[in-house]
Amino acid sequence: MRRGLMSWSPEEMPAAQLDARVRQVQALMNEHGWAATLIYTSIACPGAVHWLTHFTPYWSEAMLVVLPTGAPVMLASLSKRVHPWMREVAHLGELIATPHLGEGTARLLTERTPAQSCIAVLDFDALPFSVAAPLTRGYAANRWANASMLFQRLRTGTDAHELALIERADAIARSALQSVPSHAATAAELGGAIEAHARLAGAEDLIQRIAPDLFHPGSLQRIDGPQALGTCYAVEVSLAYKGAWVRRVRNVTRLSTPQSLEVDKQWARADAWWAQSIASLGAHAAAHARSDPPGMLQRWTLEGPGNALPLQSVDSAAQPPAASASRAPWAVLSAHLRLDGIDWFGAAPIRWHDYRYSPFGNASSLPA
Amino acid sequence: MSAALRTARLSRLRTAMQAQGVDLLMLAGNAWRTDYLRYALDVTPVEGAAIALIGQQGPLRLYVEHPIEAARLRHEAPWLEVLHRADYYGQIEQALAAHATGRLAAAPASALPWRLAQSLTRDNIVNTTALLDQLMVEKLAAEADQVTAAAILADGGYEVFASAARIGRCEFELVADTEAWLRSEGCPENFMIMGSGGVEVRGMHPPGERRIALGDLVTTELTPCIEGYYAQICRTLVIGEPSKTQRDAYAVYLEALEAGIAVVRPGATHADVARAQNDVFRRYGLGDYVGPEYTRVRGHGMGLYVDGPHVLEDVNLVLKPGMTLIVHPNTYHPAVGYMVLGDTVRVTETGCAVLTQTPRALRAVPANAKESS
Repeated sequence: MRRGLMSWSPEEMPAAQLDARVRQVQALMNEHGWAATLIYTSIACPGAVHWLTHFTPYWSEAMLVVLPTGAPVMLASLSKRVHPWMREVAHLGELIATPHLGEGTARLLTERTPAQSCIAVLDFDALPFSVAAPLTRGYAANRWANASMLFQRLRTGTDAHELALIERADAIARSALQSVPSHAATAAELGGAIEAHARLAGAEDLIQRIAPDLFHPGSLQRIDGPQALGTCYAVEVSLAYKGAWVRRVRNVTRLSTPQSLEVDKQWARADAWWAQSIASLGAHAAAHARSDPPGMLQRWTLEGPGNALPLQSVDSAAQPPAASASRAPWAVLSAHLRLDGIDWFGAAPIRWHDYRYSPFGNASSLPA
Repeated sequence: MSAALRTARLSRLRTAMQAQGVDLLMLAGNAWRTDYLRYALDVTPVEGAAIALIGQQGPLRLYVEHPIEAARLRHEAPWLEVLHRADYYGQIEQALAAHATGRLAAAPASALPWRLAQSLTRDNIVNTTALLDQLMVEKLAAEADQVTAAAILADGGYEVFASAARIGRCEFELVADTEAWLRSEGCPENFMIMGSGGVEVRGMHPPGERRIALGDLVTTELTPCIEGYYAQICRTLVIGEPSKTQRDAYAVYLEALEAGIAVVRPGATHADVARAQNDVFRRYGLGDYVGPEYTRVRGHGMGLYVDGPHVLEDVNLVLKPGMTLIVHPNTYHPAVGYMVLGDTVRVTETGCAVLTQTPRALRAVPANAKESS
């Protein structure tokens, strides 16, 4: 995790939109009799709190407490001196500094909710022990409800502002990948060029994974050092712009003709399969969409908006597709194929539009 | 990471487990708390969570929440058995159930998921967060060498940052230049915050869209890592010629840093290092600005994370050779705004070696300066 531009533009994400999302949570609370909904956040699990407030902690942790009416209360373990900055980059109501999040949340619940209420917690299973233990000790809830499944449903609605942010993130990612210098000989050189381009364009965060030699079976890796790049390599960027995350891959060949012709031919088959897979995702079951690849399918992952993670896997070889995966307003699809002697990677954000899925932006894949 | 250092750390960990009678250690990690997994297994989760189960001997198992991370880690860490299933917690609970009779330990509390913590309801559970913290704070020489290497990177990164600080540029553009340079040097992670402006600035934060202006104090805390080990540098520069008020204020920070570093030696405590710095502020009538209303942390350990407890006047962690820490009297000054100054140091047998080489003087960036290439 590397912290780039963090800012909030009300034009891109109006306060009214964030307020409307909070009201959706409050409606859910009313329906289920929850006196409060607790949503934990850190830089490792910023999804839901960012969706409601536009806030991601760059450090430490925080808890958003949604009460039946009014703006949510945020308890934050960050120093009080960064509160002005927090208010500048997010849409926050009451902000309380507390070094001990679990105890602080229990105290707030005691003060603001009827005794022995039912309290909903998002992703209760994943709540850190250091927060959950003092929280459950300090507040005698009638019941602790896990709000994850119900909250996930809220994320399946269409939201033009969210889609616009994803579109911007995707544009930055594609442009950064296209900026890759043809002479880049090492992973570090490649990484530096991508980092510069993406961050100057306003990327908030950037994760790079590289498959340094596509002629050798492998995977996308986080490469720290000056590892040499092969004549054919792939680079994936996972990129955030104001909380909206996408993934994009570029497969690069530096072969000259005629050797490059065979690679181009194989990758063209992969590209065609990829486009077909995306198109058939909305019409068929995900298992159908990943069928008949032009090589061995090593990995297939469909991700949607998550509660904790910005991108949460909803379908992969290791899991059946979640119901919410079908026809979600947006998703990120990624795949790894082993073709005849060479690998191919794909990743793109896709959107549901005109009764079918299609990639954001103009192209489904990037030029080699 | 050299295989030798990886093996040495794991061996140290397993020896400590044996000494405490721990049969199985459960370590949790995520993109925020990578240090425990990095120490034990030399892996860094970047998305989602991961749990390691480590016995006194035998295979090392890592359970990974996200399928993309599982594919990556299988390739990057062939010394591990990397497991991924959609039912992430169920898979780990099943594995824990197979160790029903042994003595279990878990760490750290800040990343351990509630569901797994609850499933460990046996009496023989030990919280080993403190044990792991001690191993990470009291470093092997090879670990301190990595911090030394990271300090060189921090010096280089600061030069790029200072060169990028020009009138009219946005804060995030300064960070972009720095991050790009660090990445091109093979640096996988960097924790970096900054500030710009005048007396109204009371701290640092991730970069925003504010444009650098004449007379600004531009601060940064820059923390790159190599092989997982971080080193930090804190510096302040002025755009244009510093005013007398700015120079006088900065002199206090310089004196405080020198006073703090002067007491770093084996046997001294974090409290001693904090007090030496704070006494300087108090001597100049600035005692209020080193208390809880402003910034009271006078440094912290440096390693796979912010090692151990902070440098505070009430922390009695005793310094030992090989420990690495940053000494930083960073805080608000009522006359000029937020100022920072900090060096990473390594405790030696007789005192300390200052790893940061960047000059401590208040740097002035000429108002008409051009960026260096």
